Amino acid sequence: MSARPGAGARLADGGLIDRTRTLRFRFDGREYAGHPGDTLASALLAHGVHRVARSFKYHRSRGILSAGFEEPNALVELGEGDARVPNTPATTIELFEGLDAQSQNRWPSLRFDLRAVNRLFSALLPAGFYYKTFMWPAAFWERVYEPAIRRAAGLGRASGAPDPATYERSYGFCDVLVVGAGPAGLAAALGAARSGARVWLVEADCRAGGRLLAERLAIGGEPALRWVEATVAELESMPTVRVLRRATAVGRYDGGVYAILERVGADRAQSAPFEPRERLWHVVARHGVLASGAIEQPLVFENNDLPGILLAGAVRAYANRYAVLAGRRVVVATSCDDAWATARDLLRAGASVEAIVDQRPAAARGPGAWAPDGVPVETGWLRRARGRDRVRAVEIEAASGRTRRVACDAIAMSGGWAPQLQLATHLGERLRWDGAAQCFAPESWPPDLSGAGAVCGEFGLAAALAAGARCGTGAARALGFRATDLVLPAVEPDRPLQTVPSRAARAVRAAFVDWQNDVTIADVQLAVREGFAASEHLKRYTTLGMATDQGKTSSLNGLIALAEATGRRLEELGPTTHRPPVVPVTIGALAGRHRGRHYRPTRLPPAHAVAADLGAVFVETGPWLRAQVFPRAGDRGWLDAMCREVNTVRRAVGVCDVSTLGKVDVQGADAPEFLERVYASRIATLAIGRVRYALMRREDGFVMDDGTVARLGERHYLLSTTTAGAVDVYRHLQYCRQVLWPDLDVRLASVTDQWAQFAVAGPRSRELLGRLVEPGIDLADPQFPLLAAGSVRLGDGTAARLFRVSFCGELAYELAVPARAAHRTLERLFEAGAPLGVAPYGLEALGAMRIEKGHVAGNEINGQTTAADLGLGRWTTKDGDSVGAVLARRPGLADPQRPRLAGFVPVDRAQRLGAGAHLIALGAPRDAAHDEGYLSSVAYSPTLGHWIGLGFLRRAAERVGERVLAHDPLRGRDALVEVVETPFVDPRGERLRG
Amino acid sequence: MAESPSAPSIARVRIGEAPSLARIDLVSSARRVAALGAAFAAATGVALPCTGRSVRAGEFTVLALAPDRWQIESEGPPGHAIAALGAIAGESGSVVDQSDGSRAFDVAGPGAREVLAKGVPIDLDAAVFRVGDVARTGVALVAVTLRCLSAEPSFRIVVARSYAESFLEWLLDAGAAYGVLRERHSASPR
Repeated sequence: MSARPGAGARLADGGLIDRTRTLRFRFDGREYAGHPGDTLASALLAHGVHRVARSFKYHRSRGILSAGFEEPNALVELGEGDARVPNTPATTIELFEGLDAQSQNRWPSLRFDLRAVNRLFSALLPAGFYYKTFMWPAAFWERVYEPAIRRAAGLGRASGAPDPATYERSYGFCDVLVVGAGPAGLAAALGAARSGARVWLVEADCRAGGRLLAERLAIGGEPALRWVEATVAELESMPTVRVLRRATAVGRYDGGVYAILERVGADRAQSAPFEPRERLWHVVARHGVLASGAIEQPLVFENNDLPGILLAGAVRAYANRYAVLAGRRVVVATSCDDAWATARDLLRAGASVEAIVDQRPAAARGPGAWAPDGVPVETGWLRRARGRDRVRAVEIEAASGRTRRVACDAIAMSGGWAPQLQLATHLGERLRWDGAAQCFAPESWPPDLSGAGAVCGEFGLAAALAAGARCGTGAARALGFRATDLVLPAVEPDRPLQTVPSRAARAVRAAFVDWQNDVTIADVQLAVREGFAASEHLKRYTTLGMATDQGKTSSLNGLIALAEATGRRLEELGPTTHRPPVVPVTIGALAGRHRGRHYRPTRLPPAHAVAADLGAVFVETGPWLRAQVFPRAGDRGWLDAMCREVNTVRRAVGVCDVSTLGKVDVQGADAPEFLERVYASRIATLAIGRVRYALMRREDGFVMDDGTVARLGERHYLLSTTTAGAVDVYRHLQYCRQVLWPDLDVRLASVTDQWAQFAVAGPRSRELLGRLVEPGIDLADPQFPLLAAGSVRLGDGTAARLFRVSFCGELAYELAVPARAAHRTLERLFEAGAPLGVAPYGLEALGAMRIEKGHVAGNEINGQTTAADLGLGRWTTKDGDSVGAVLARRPGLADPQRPRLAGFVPVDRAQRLGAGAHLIALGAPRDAAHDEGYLSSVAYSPTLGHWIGLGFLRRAAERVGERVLAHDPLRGRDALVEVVETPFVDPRGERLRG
Repeated sequence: MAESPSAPSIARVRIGEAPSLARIDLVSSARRVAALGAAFAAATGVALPCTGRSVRAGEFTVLALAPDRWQIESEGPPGHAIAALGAIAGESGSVVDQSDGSRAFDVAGPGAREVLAKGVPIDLDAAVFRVGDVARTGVALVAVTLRCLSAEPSFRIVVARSYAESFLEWLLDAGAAYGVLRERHSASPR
């Protein structure tokens, strides 16, 4: 392997790339070419492009730091227009033909960035600058500060257009979930899978192998990747195994649940037909094996963020996996043995290693710290990197104190490796500093999770394979499978890797700890001086570790700097808490298919098609689609349609689909007793064949729902609930039955979907129903009076139920038929009613008529009102206990000063009312202290010809005739209103009786 | 396990609405459930199944939804099943007609498990959710009763009538990647 002279940085041979094919791509509008197997980062480096971004705060030139998902600098926007995805690390973007990426956070261009002047004022942007600078005036936040900060932050732009890609969610189940397909993960998966256990192996990369992809190691005397491929092939041949690539385990939750983000279409410009761009898996695993490896940490020195300064392991990955030299004259700087391998691999690839700088004295180095003769080795630190848009030289400070300057075009640095333990702490587990391994480790592993390999500080290949095999077979055995020990292939014995965190630099301005959030060592020291000396405080005050990379390359150095600044040891400083997700997750993946019209399922009443044929305009009420109005040609708007519908009901007959009301069938020997206990209203006196209005209270004494109770038989009742309350009421009833009084013989069945129900209302409703029921059935008052309930047979043989109830105040019935008969019954009602002038009416007309009658609905039964507030106290006067009866008597709820329901009309009858307007006594200041209530429901009354409202007002009963102000600052209009008694229409209920 | 094919040419999943059956809720209470079980066993010779299982009892297929709740499918007209069950249950259980309250869809074929995994939060592996197993669960925010009909595999999903259109839309969308054959009437065994 050697570098071709002068032809970019791509090596002439080697690497896991397909040189037979060329892929063209664009970055910031310029054309480049790469090969399958490249990432965007490796392909750019192959062209010598290091500088790919500007930093967040100071707009410094930034280059590619890493070769993985920990990348803090090389974030790009991928794609154009509505398909644009921001904040994607170039190091994880698989190259494909036609890829188009833009750098972020530069204006007008990466090369000439005008905001780089921020650097000149960096003294103005110290730690906590948000808190110090943008404090007041408060009004400036929304209008000035936030937009300015957002523009300056430049963390990529969302497209703002609907995403053309699709996303989906899926559930998975396994015995053993292995996170990471490096040597430890592969051994674990194999060990568990051979026992017959169901195994999932998830790998964030597009290839299995983990760190083996970046190294030149042998397993069983052959290149390690042969073993990787054979192992993956064996695993994939087993029907009980699933191997997911491009899949990151992003969260761990109670009950062995893991969230796994699969980037299905990450290797191509457009998803295949039917293929989602991303899939979010919800995987339930009986046991998890964490083999997520470790991430190399940078060194902290002045200008350590210059392009051309990379992690040493990344330099090795670019050379070995992608056949790209990050530099030709490289300085290797390290606090551990591992980076020495980078020096050797670079030399083999034909680069020049200008110096190896190890912080440790020679005696403290491990056996991995060796270099071929002729490579200058220095004990000391990097003091300062030099260069503008690319590193050109570095000043080395030897342990002796002597400083020398070395010219270079790249620096490979290593501050040791930090285990990726996020998943091990998502349920609140704590980490502690392990002084021997020089890394964090869990205080204890949860019983259903184990770790293998570098994540446990086992950095050698032999150790990783052995630990993986042990974890995999151990997990399978613990779950009851017969697992045999794996015979592991021979590998070179591990040389213990001493990973020693770097010593932090002295206070210098541009020595970066957090690249992505532009936090320097000086910021950490300032935060400590200002009293933010706990790790969680430091994080929040400086924003260290709070960027999209979540501190993968910065948290540890931040803690080291904190320890040095406060004179404490790392053992005394807990790391900051990790919370899901481990890597950013798109909103699309979380939403899956549930967006737009599919945001939630839609419920349709069984005769929906009839309303649609009649030209209904539908409105969403909870999950239901209900007819709002039935407009006709010539209507100027919904108000015209609503008025016509109300007038039809008040003068002839109208039909409204009320199938959405909740219906509960209650039977059993103790059904009467049960209902007496759950309703605040008296039920015991209800006779068979009768229906009654009833109120249900919550445990806390407030009204929960209202509805009707019909007694169909000795021990058989049918309850109706509001549409909105149906689910909650049924759940509450089941709770009462199962938990409070399991000794009662009560049987509940929700029959909401079984029965369609139509309100047939108006002076001619009896006449209309008479045409539908079997001949001979008499609906006249003596036989079927107000509040009668019973079974009737329709002319076509349908077994129906009929209830003489009215919500609109007219002579009215509710006719219930089995859902399959709904369509033909509703059509029949309109056919038979045509000569009577029948018309359908929708929710607007229903609402206007109930307000005309002073009936309460969801606006009034809002969870904050008592029966007395609603003027329904007479429905709760009974002896004996019922749910909520005791707490309804507490002083706050029984206070006669509470606002009570009343009617309101505008003094100027031409004026419109607004729901939500506050009621204030005339002459009183319009402020919260003088607020005496509010309008809850308003409507234009077609019957009265002006607006009317229901509302709650203090001492309402004494104030009928009084004028108050309806103050509506939201809409900017006030109205003088008069307090009136309800109902507004037919106060004596004569129409109701027909 | 195979990945989803990008261009389905052969249908790997069949979706059809199950034939219309009588569907009756048989509901009891803690106090009466033992008596109901005894009466049912005496009349049919088959014990009421435990929650999560289903059994065939003469003309009935009995699905156990909760410790005191069963749903019964029957090929005959609802009136006949209601009368027969009413006679068995007497005072120990309610018999509530739900024949109109729901619609049922059968999902079958080699891709059925993968399709359902997009919404069903329970393990449908053949060894875990066996033929005859029943679950009350949620699919894509819709409450369903799910039953494994056969080892092919085939599943029957009962949803409330009001949710059926919305659910079917989800099901067909979830199945699209696998190639869906829509069946007019399911031929799955009952």
